[in-house]
Amino acid sequence: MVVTVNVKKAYGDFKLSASASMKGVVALLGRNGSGKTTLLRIIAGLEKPDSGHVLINGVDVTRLPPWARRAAYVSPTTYIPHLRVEKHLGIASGLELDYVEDLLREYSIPMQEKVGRLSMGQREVIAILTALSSRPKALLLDEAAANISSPLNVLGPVAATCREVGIDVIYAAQGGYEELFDAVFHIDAGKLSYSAP
Amino acid sequence: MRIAALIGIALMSLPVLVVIVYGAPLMTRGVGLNGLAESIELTLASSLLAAAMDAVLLTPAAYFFSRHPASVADSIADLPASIPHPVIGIAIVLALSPTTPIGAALADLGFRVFDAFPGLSLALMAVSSPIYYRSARNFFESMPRDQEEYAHTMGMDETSTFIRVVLPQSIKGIANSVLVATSRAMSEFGSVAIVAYYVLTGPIRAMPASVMIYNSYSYSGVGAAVSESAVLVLVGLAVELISRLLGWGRQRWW
Repeated sequence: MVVTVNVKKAYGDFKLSASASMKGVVALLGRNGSGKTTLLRIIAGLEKPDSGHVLINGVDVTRLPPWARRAAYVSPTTYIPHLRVEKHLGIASGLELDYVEDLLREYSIPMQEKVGRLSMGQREVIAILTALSSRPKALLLDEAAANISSPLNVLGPVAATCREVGIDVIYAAQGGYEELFDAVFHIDAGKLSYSAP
Repeated sequence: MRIAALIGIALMSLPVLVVIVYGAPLMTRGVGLNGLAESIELTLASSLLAAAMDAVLLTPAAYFFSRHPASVADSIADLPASIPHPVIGIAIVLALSPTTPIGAALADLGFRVFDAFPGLSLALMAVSSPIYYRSARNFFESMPRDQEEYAHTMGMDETSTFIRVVLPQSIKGIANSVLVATSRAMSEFGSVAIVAYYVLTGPIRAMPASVMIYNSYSYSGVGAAVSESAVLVLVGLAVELISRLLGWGRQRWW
C-alpha cells in the first residue's frame, strides 16, 4: 500500500508543492502554516489541487470524491457529536479492533456517553479508532492526537494494526514520536522533503 | 447608529402595535369574534401542514445547495416570493382544475383543490416555500463542515452523510424553519382568496383568517376587522416566540 502525491496548490502568497511516495506509517512534520493540513486534505479529496495527481495504491484518485477514495481524515474537530460512543465506533465498521475496550477503559470513556460531551482528548481517541475501524486505504491523522494524554498508548496500537492489515498512515504534527514511524517527511513553507527515519 | 436601529425596528413594529392598541379593547368585548376560532384553527392547521410539506420537499434541496451554491437554483427558489401571490393562486386553480389531466386524475382520487383544505394547503406551501428554503439553507450553511468531511472520508456519500450525520443534528434548525414558514403562511391572503375563499369540505369548514378579516372589513366595518386582526397577531406572535425559543438552542448542534 502506498500513497503517491505530486501536487501544487496556491492560496494567495502560500504555495504548496509536494511530490512523494508515502508507504507504511509515516510522519509529516512541520510548523503551523507549513502546508501539512492542505496536503492531507488534498490526499483525502477535501481540497482540489491546482495541478498534479494523487495515487492511492497506484490508482489515480485525483478526480474521485472523498467517499470513493477511502483516505480517512482525522483532526481534533472531526467527530460526530450527537452519536454515543458505541454508535460512533460502529458507524463505518469494517475492522475489529481487540484493544478498543482497553483504550476506552484507560481513557475513562463511557460507552453510552455522547461524543460531543467527552473531553477533547477522549473525542480524539474515539475519532481515531472510528476512522481506523472503517478500514480505510489510508489513515490521515492531522494533529489528531494533540489533546490525548500519553498519545503513544493510542498511536502505538493503531500503527501496529495499520502495518498488520496494510493501511498507510500519514501522521501530521509539529514533531515528536519519530520512533513510531517508518519514514519521516518534513514540510516547510509548502515544500515537502524526505528524511530517513 | 443605535437610535437609527431603534427607529427602524419601531417603524417595522408599528402596524402590529396599531392593531393591538385598537383591536385589544374590541377583542375583549367580543367584537367580530363569531366564527373566528374555526377560522384561526383552519389557518393554523393549513399553515403548519404547508410548512411541513415545505420541510419534506425542500430540506434536501436546502442542504444540497448550501454545500453546492448555485445562483440559478436560489433565483428559482425565490421566484414564488417575487411574483404577485394571486398569480400563484390562479396557477394552482388552472393547473389542478378538473379540466386538466392532472386535475382530473386528482379529482378521481377524491383530491379536491378549489375551496378545499388540500388546495388551501397547497397554495400556502407555494408561498411559504421560499421562506422555508432560505431559512433552512442559512441553517445548513452555518453548520460546521468538519463532521461531514470526516464521514465522507470514511466512505459515506452525500446522501448517507445527510441522513446519518447532518439530519439528526438539524431537528431544531428544521423545526425553526418550519415555524418561520408557518408564520409566513398564516399571513397569506392573495393566493388563498383565489384557491380557497371558503373551505367547504373537511373537518374544519371556515374562511381562512386573512380572508375573514378582509371580509369583515368589507361588510362589517373596521371594528370587527381590527378585533379579528388583533387575535391573529397574537397567534402569530406566539408562533414567532416558539420559533425564537427554538432558535436559541442553535448554539448546540446536537
